[in-house]
Amino acid sequence: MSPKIEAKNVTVRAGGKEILHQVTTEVPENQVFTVVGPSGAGKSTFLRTINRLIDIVGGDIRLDGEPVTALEPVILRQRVGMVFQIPLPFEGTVEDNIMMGPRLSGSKEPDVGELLDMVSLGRSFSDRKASELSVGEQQRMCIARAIANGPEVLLMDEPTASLDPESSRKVEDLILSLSEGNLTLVLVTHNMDQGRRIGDWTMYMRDGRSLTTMETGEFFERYQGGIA
Amino acid sequence: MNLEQIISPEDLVRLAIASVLIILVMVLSHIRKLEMVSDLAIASIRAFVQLMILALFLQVIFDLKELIWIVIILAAMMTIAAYTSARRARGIPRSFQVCAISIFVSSSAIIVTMVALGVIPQRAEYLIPLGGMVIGNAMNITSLALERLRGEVDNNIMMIDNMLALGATSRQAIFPLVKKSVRASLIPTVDNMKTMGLVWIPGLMSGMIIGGMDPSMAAVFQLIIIFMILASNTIASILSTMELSKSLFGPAEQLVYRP
Repeated sequence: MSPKIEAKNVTVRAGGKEILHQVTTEVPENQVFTVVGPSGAGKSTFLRTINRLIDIVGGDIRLDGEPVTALEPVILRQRVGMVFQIPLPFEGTVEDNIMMGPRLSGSKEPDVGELLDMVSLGRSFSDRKASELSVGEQQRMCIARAIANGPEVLLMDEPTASLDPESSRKVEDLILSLSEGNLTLVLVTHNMDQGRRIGDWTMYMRDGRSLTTMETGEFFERYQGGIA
Repeated sequence: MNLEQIISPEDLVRLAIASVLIILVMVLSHIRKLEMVSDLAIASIRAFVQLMILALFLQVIFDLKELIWIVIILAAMMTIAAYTSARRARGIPRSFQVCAISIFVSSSAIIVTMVALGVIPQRAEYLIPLGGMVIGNAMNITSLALERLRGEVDNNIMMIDNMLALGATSRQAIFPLVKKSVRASLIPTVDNMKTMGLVWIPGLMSGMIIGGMDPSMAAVFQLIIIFMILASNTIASILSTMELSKSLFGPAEQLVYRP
């Protein structure tokens, strides 16, 4: 089966410094692909190159075999959604937030109640002010907001890093339930245990380089003692 | 041309008497140990010299009948205004270009329209001072709007990234911040208009009344210039924020400006 995302020799420079150096990997379709590694490894930068929030200076990234640069950025980001580390609610209600993507593109409006059920917030949250939710609830709302566009891929940049353990566990459960549908998930985490719990595939990054990509079980078996 | 040709001996005596106020302020500053005596002296001398040079210069200009000279002088004023505004907007990408487009387009559009419609006579003694007021205001509004928008973007990077990630165009992502910045930059102009005649008498109207003009005529002229300033300021604010917005984003609708 051909991969959902292919990255080949991806290089990013900023301020005269190389942030990513020839990163090459493949993300299989409908799997949870985790990107792990220490702080400053370039994990978040790599994630942002997939939906072109950051442009690459060398290499190639393909979505279903098509270079992402050949797609309209707006269309690409509807197909490849993103959830950030710190949830950021827009002004208005939870429904206003969830409808933001479809309203921006003028596409068919999804069933908000269904999305709220999916992220375990419940339909009663629809009319609540988004800014008044707890951080954990806001993060789940942001996931619903990203899914409302009907993406094929969801990029998640440390989605549990700013949450308490209870909220973190709920978001992890949500990620696992999302992975059962037709959604490819690319999850950046510095938490190796989290990567082990929810990842199907693992890419390990350090100093802007991809050191290895393999099935998560095999990765943790082989590198229990750490990566040299 | 000498000083006596632009100021009568009588006026010079008046000016000398008014200068006593400056001396009193300097004495007060010395007594209160404010350490401002030299600043006050330099500022007063500079104001005197600059205004005298301006008066001499304006007399020469007013004698010029060709439109081209007026256009050249207004263009020079706009260039200096753009340069001044760009210096205040340091750190903003393409700052001179952004300021120049904003000030040239907004001021020229309003001045040319008013002259073409016959509201302002096509004479140097009208066009230079009124043009100067329009350009000066456009300069201030450009600086205000750019500074405000830069601050808004600095504080809302995450919001912009979130919007872009949801499929917003750069224009959609920055629109709420542009709107806030334009509104905020126009507050002083609108507030000035609201309090005009209640809290303060505008400078142009005061000058005309002191110069012997009928107060109702002076009011009409003042209103014309205020409307010109409002229109020019609004255009300058919208243009400068639009131009700045363009330079903050890359071709793939991504925010390339990072504070």
